[in-house]
Amino acid sequence: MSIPVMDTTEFRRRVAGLIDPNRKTGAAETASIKEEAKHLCLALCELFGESLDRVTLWDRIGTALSTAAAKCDDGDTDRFASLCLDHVKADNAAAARHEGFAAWVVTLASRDDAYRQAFVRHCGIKTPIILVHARHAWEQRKATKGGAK
Amino acid sequence: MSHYRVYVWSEAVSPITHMKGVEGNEAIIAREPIDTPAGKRWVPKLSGNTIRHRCIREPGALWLIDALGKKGELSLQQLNFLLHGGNLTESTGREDTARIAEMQELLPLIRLLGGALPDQILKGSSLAWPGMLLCEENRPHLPIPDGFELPIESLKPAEHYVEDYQYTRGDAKKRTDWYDESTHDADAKSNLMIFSGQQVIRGAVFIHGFDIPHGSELELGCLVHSLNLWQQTGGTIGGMASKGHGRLESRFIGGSDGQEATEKYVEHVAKNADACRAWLDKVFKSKEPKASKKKAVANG
Repeated sequence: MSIPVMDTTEFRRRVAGLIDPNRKTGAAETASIKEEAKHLCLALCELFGESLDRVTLWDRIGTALSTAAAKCDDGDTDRFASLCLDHVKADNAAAARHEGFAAWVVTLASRDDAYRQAFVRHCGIKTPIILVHARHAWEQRKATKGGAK
Repeated sequence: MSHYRVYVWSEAVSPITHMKGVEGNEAIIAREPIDTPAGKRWVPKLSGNTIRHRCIREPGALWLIDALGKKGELSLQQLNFLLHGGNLTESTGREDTARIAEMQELLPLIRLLGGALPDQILKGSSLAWPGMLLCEENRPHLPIPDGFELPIESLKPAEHYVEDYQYTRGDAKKRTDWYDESTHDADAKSNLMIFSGQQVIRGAVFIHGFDIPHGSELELGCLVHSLNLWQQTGGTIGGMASKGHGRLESRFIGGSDGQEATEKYVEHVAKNADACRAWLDKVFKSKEPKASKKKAVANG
């Protein structure tokens, strides 16, 4: 058996399969992805299942993000969100009523595939950092709500 | 004498775990720093050393030993010389040009790769390039023959091709039909060692190649023949081959398949088998121990 020889046509065809399907995400897009990840986490906080111990809130949201990212490499953010909701044992009716979550679904639906794929990848590889930002925002929200009372 | 250059496209058909080292219980893949417009990036690579050994020396030497009918008959020194390049073990080196000339004529594999006889270093003619990942970071430096072009669009980034794996040892204690803990140490515990690491995923492509400056067709034939043998035996590279890692499927980029040169090489070895065996025996012949000065004086 001899090693086959690749001609220019085959080379071109094979390299075409290695082109990055995600166009380069600019700074604005990256910032937007970070914001959307934070919004999703805030919604998950509010939809966190009552059967779960709230002490495990951030642990569970973290594992929700990383396991969902591992299962939705294709950038299917609807499935990604469903898996996250399942993981935190969210009530379906509460999720349907939740304004923040609905806004997140609409925003992601309006984005293109490349953005959604980048979002899922971001959630998979930067989970701890997402949690840091989300927790900070969650504490601020709690303080604001407490102050308003 | 000509300058031969071979370009190779090697696609990972199983995860590549060519490691740099270990951090804790995690194996880290070998990478090299690359300066890019976005700053310094560490991109996975295959070292030229591993390519040279796994793709040429090992398959080429095993075939040669078999072809010479010396399987199981070589001394450890001879086997290490052929399979691993050998070691300079004698305190005094020498420059035996007749011996080199003979080797040059008889053994294209050694001419190609060089090695160390017990008392003499033999220079090899081939230059193995490191395996460069076909990714955007490497784009300006990828060795590609004239007429072959990369697309204008961005290639996938290096990090796209890096993922993790994790394994764990099982617990033999759970096999109660094979292990009766009441008859052994009841407090004995299994160590369920978890080990993890990084891998370059299946589908990633490495571009690499070889130069043979001022080489002969026999050296080219030997190189291509060894590469063919390497591919026939699985094309493995890097570690963890026993667990299904490290297989590459290769193609030459442009040029010919070197069939004619390969046939000439195989024919050459068959024709010179006796002389090759004699050369190997001669250069590794154990020396007569020198008589000590004291003894010589006493005898005198």
